[in-house]
Amino acid sequence: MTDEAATLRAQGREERDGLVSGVSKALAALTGAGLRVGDSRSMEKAWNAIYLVASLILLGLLWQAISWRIGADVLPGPLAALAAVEQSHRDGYLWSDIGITAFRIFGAFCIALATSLAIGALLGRSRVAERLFGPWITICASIPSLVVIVVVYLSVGINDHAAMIGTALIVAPPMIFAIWDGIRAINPELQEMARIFAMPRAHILWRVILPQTTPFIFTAARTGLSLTWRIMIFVELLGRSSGVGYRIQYFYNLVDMQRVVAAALPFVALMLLFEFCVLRPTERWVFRWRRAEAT
Amino acid sequence: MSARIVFDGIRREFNNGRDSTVAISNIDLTFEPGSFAAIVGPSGCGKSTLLHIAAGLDTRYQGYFAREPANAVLACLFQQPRLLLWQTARKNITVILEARGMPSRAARQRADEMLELVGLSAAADKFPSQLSGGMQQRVALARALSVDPDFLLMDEPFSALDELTAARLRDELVALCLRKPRTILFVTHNIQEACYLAERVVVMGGHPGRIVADIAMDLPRPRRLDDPALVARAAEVRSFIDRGEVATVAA
Repeated sequence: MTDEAATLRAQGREERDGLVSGVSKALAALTGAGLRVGDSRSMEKAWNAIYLVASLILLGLLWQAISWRIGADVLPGPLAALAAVEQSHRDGYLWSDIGITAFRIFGAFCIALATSLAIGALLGRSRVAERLFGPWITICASIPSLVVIVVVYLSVGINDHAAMIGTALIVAPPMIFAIWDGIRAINPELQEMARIFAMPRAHILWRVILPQTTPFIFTAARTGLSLTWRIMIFVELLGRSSGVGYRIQYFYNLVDMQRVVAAALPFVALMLLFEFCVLRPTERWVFRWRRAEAT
Repeated sequence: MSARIVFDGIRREFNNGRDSTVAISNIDLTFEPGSFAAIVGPSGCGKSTLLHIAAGLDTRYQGYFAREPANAVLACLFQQPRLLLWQTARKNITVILEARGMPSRAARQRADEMLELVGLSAAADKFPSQLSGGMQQRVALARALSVDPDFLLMDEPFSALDELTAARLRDELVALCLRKPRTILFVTHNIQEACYLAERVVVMGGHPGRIVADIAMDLPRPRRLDDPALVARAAEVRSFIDRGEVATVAA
């Protein structure tokens, strides 16, 4: 992914990445506080809240400091960025941008997940497939993303389908690696047990093998989703005339950095919201048998 | 209906690139329906190879092996409980029963009966991580019994437990066997355990794995570990194992 990383950097967007990790850490602290509610340890809870607020203030100050250091015309401060978000909301394009990009990301992510589940399972289960097709995945992973995007745009057409397929093709290989590794790492003892008890093959796959791979599927989904978002911005920038990526490019050309940051900011928040309101609770529910130990 | 198990001239080689090792050879054993046999021997004597063949997991042997009737129901208890960690105790049993075609309501009822049989009714909705090692092994025992097996394979099922828990589970196993006889093949390296439980003790020696002795344990069950007759039998088994090892060293 070095090519688009370089492009992104060239467009002065690495600040956003720093922002993402900072905000995600803050939100991790927030869910930490949420987890301990049941313990009725109000002191612990209070401290978590204090740390969370402190963390957010610190992040804001750091952002502001960097903004002052390198100049508000290159990196606008947090308050200026929020003001620009508000302004773009009043201008009326904010939600349509987010909506269309979210739709494309959702489509691309679904394609990538389904493909990587199928291929990962095949490679993990069959030695023949592993030896025959394994190298293909390595090759796919090393094709420059730009080439993939251009080829898909030219062969499918410059439309949303191409955007989704192109993104999915770039995102799938690392997800396949994660799932493939996971399936290979499964302890064969439970399968032996299931075979002795005469479980049909389909049952073994669904009831014994698949549940053991869920941790790896979650890892793949999480890294896949964040990669999908980052690639999709790039894909939009190259061939779509709507969405967050297009908007970033548009304001970049106008050298309106306040609006560039403002275009990315709401989506970063949306991704984090998804992580903490959908992904983590699902994960906690799926892996409740692990936490059971503590109770 | 329990199963007859026949090994006739079984030999299993493992080819590992250029060199091949003979794990077991010349195994002739017949286990009558409803009999409880223990297989003892030092590690590396081919016990687990034999077990894998008996379980149907290994089919690359030479010779003749059969479970009669061929559709005999097989169940297994391993050294580790091998439970599905993400399922409750009850679900661990119903998953197996439903996979074998039992309707879910009947499976649930059957699972609860089996858990009651092993004294774990209260733990039906607990996950394995919430149960002690002994309780997990009990769930595994309940699971094995839930399919009403004609042939029960046990691979050192109590060796990973503390001695008190192991002793209690052994007694429960004897009680269950007396209630309803099934063909049981019990692999262990614990001589006393073999003599305490089994009606017949097959002693194996190593390199290549072969049968060293085949001893009938005709003491009435339930037995006492400190019964002089049992102690004498254990010593006899012990001497066969030692002799098997000596023969190996001499060869």
